[in-house]
Amino acid sequence: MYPVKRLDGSTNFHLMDFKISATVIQDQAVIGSTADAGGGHITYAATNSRVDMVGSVAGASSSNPDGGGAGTLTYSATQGDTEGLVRVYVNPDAVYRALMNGGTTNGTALQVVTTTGASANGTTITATDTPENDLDDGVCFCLTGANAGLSRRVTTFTANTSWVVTVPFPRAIAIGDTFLICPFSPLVTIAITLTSDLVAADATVAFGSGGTARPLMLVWNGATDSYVDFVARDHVFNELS
Amino acid sequence: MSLTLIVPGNWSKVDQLLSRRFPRRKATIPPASWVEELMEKRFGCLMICNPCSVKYRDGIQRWGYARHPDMKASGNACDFCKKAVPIMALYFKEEHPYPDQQQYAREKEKWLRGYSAHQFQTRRTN
Repeated sequence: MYPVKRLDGSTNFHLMDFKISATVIQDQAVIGSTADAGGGHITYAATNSRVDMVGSVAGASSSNPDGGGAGTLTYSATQGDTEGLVRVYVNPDAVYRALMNGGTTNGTALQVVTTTGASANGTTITATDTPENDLDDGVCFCLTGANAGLSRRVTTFTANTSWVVTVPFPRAIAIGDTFLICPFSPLVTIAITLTSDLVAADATVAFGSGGTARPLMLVWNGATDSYVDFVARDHVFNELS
Repeated sequence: MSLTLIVPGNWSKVDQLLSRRFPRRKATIPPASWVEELMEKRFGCLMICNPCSVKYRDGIQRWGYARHPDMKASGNACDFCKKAVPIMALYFKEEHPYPDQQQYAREKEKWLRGYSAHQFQTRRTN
């Protein structure tokens, strides 16, 4: 995940260098360290929790006397080792873009759902190979078929059977049309689960599960290059709790 | 008009401690070398002010850093000259590896038949 803009539409970011309490990698979500924990000031988030989120890692700090470098930035409490300093975007209103994945591993393609039933009124997507978790209130995107390129909010979801949209697709849905579906709805979703490396989003979890986040926009391209843009709901400088 | 440098003659204890805590670049290391070393260590994201981006353009290109067209840093100090600048461009390490000699040769064959190879070798290959 990386910031693409701020809520005021600008792309001016404030970057700060922080001491780390744990080894982190570039583009990883980081949170503020809690009292009496760790030797630094920030640490990595969790896949399902981003309380006191600080931002995402841009790289190593140039103030680090012995370098460090992009990639894995190592934390060490051993005398003589390089102090771990990383550069982080700290704007509370930064809009982060995360790749949507079809699993917990970053780089997993989204599941392409192929319809097994037709829908003349364009409201029901019938398929036996849908994702397992409840994606009610998520968003589906037509990949191929007469409605290719259009998306709709899901209002009823039954795993491995069908899902329904309230606002119909403009053209009939035919057997063999393909769709993508995710649990993220702009302004509606309140949580996003990250992949195991804390760099991208896991789009297979149930709607509303994960760490606090508010999606702003979905960028649909295909199974391997669709993104969710979101804002941290619980930022270290704008705390929810 | 000649330039006059005013160097403090008496350094207080605080000054001495601060100078130890934040050592400056050694006089034996030229600024360009320090900047090159910084880029060589692959920091991933550098904030470089406009004058420095022109001054060290050659090194920035050789080490594969590219200016992001949109993203800016506001309220930070330049990584090279350490001067605070209101808005600076962000330079990211490009993800692809540096082109090797074979790739340069292919490029030359493809696009630049008849030109000298050295004219297009703008990046380090090791």
